[in-house]
Amino acid sequence: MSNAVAQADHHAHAHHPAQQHHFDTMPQQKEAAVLGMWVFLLTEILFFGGLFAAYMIYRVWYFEAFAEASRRLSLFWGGLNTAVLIGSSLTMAMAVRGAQTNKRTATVNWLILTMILGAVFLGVKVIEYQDKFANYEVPGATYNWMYHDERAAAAGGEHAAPAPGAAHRQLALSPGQLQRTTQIYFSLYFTMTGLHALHMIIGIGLMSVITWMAWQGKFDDQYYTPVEMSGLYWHFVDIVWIFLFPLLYLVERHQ
Amino acid sequence: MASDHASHGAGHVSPVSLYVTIFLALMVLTGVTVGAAFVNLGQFNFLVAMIIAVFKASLVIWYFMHVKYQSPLTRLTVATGLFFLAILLGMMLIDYSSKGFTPMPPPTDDDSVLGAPGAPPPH
Amino acid sequence: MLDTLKIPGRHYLNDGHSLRSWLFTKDHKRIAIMYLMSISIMFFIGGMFAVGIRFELATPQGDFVTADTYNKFFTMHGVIMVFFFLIPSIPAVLGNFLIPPMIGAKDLAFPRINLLSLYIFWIGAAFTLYSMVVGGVDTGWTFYTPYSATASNTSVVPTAVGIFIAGFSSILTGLNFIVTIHRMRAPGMTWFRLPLFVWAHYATSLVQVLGTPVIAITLVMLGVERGLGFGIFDAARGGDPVLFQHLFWFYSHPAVYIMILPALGVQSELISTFSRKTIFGYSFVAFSSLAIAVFGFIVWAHHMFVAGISTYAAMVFSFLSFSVAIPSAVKVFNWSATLYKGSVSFDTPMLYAYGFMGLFAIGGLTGLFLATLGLDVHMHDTYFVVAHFHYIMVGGAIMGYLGGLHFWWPKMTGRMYSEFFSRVSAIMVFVGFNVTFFPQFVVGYLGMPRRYHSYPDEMQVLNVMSSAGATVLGLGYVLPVLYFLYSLRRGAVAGPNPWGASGLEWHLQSPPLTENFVEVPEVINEPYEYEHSVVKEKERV
Repeated sequence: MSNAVAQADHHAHAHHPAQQHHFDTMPQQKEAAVLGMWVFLLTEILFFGGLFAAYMIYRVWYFEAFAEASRRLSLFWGGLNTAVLIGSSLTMAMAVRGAQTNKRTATVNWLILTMILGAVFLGVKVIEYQDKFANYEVPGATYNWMYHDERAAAAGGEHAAPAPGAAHRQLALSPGQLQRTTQIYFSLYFTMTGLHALHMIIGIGLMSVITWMAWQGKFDDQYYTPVEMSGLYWHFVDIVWIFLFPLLYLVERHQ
Repeated sequence: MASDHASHGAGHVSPVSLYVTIFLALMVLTGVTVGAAFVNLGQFNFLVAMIIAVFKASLVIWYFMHVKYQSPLTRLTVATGLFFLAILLGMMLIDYSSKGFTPMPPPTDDDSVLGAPGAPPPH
Repeated sequence: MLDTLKIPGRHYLNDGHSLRSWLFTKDHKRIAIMYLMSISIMFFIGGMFAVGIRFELATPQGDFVTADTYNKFFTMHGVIMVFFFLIPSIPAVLGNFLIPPMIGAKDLAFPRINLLSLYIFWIGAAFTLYSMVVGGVDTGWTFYTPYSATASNTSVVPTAVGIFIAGFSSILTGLNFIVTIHRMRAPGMTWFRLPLFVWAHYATSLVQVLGTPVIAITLVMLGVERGLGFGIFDAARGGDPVLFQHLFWFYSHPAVYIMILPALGVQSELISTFSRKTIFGYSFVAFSSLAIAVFGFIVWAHHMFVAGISTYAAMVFSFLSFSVAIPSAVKVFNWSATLYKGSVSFDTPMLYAYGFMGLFAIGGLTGLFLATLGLDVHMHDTYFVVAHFHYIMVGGAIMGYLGGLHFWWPKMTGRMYSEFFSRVSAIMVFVGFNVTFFPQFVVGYLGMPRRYHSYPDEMQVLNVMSSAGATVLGLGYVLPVLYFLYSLRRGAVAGPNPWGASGLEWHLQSPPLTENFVEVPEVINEPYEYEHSVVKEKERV
């Protein structure tokens, strides 16, 4: 034989119940899982990267349309959601910490709190989407850029609040051009936030399983990989939002 | 062992105070990014927003996601992702930024035509 | 001699006989076998469309099918072959089977995710086959907008969903390999003792995890545009159809390297084993795989020279495209140097390896023609392009796949196939392939565009040649199915190492145990040590 093979025994110590047969040690198993999760997040970076690429091109081309359409989003709801999501990242980090330190009840409670915050985020998103539907701001056959302003004007003639500053902004784009190009903004808006929301729904689904497992006492300071993995995922979703918020809500707010 | 980095037990347990500090920093930075958006910085509005976002993301990655305590391989993985994202965005920009170098037919006044792609829309 | 070799009493194939023991297995070897069956079926479905294409093109007029049906033929041929055969072929079958034994591991790092990737592949294939049954797609495998987004009235969305889903199968396979290669190597199995097959798969996996998400998001954008009426690529609303092409080719050019890199890895194993020499320039061959993977990401716009990208960008991409030739050439030169003064043999796997070297060289060099900016304007979307990428994908990837399959078949099943018929098949594939595709270089250079179902009369001779060659090629592909199946029952017992090869996998019994290794092995030898130690003569009669 060309390759002499010596045998080595790595099974000297007792196995943790969660250790799978094809791993030699718990640290090896944990490191494999951590690396696997990070490689998965790597694919997620590129997944959202395609959307960011499209956003980048169109924002440069149609900056004015993007700025106008961006003002149609509610800064209140967007800011609130940012705070909610950052808060859920904190509670998630605390949940992982609870598992690391063998605190079963704390882990479960922090996980539940994280899921509640995630649900709040999604609820706010529903409110925002409903507003877009009500104002015909969903791209497609029924899209109507003018509807929002017309309705505001009809609502209270002298009432100037609905479109602050709109009057003094001199737009280079005609209403027809805005009607078309703002659809690109809203297409990207719905695709980006929709996929982000989908990731959050998946995250909440994962977490409900993890919570149940934590309640069953499956985790200890030697084995808490699932909690840590769902944590990494949740933080990643948070990071995506950290970029989406300024890109979508804050295109040009100072005019 | 295949693993060139061995961690034992529960890995690194960060103190609660660190997590709370990071959370507060993220909240403050969110406030800053909103505030900065209402100040006219011209071209720099976008840059400021992105720098703050990158900084916020780095805080999350470094402390919440424990990259600070992970093996160099994990850091390399993150760097690889960002590097290839930069390739995607950068190489596309090579095309889009140089389209205007080639003379194009002048934009028409016809409202139904937006002007040739590549050239910025008529202002 | 023959009597001394027996199939071992316990191995992964007889470790449970129920359907359940296969469908719920976590054994990478069984998953590889199920992948083998799945992609073989997809290969023959995709092949049927190729038969239809060549049948139509036997005459200049469009007399076999209508233009619309022809559009569906080449689209389904491309979609099935690219996404459901070539991309999973070597990684999911040979890589899945061989990477754990090659690095001294009992399984991949994530056995359940491995099984999941197979199920995902099946679901993706089901969507695509569904769209085929309900009328097919006619956009070409490239799904260019605006045609795919607004104009085509065929089932674009189910096909796109199928590809989207299958993409996750590819991502999970790549992810599993990366983690396995990093974290599951046996003691002593350092990076520079890894077989080059494993290096090639590492590079492939990088492309899979970095590229596939971009096609996924691109198809999502296409889907929301077509399904929900969004406007992302819609020029009527100011969108840019060329943006779709940028995003599409960001994945789909590197995807070519997902197909060819594993074949390059197989090739390194075959050349070294059958010339009984250490591979020449091990580290150069290893790093050239990584270089191809990285360079593959910076050349994509050479598919778009005439699509309206800026001239300056075209120059940059043209220049960069040439750089891919460097690591590719490093490999071919190193294989040639390995063969030099080796004791070279002509077993079936090696016949495929010889074929591969020639065809890959032709495919690669004609790629340089197409990367040349001025020439591409002339040859874009002609049969020259079709011939070029078939030399890489069929002449390269499928030759590598078949060579690898013939090489490791005794390891996978414990039995040898017919020596005679396998050599006949290898020669038929090589001859049939060249007769099919070489005339297409000529006919393309003369100006025959791709994706047309009729052509000028004076091009008929070359097209008939092509169709005749395709017949030989097709028979060459059917033959292995027959003698492989025959070998399962009647083939001679192969023994653990019929080729006298040096890799760790050849120390296992054939077929291997479910857990591969009874004890964790410790590697103390360098790879490909054919020259410095006594190598047993072939154990087979």
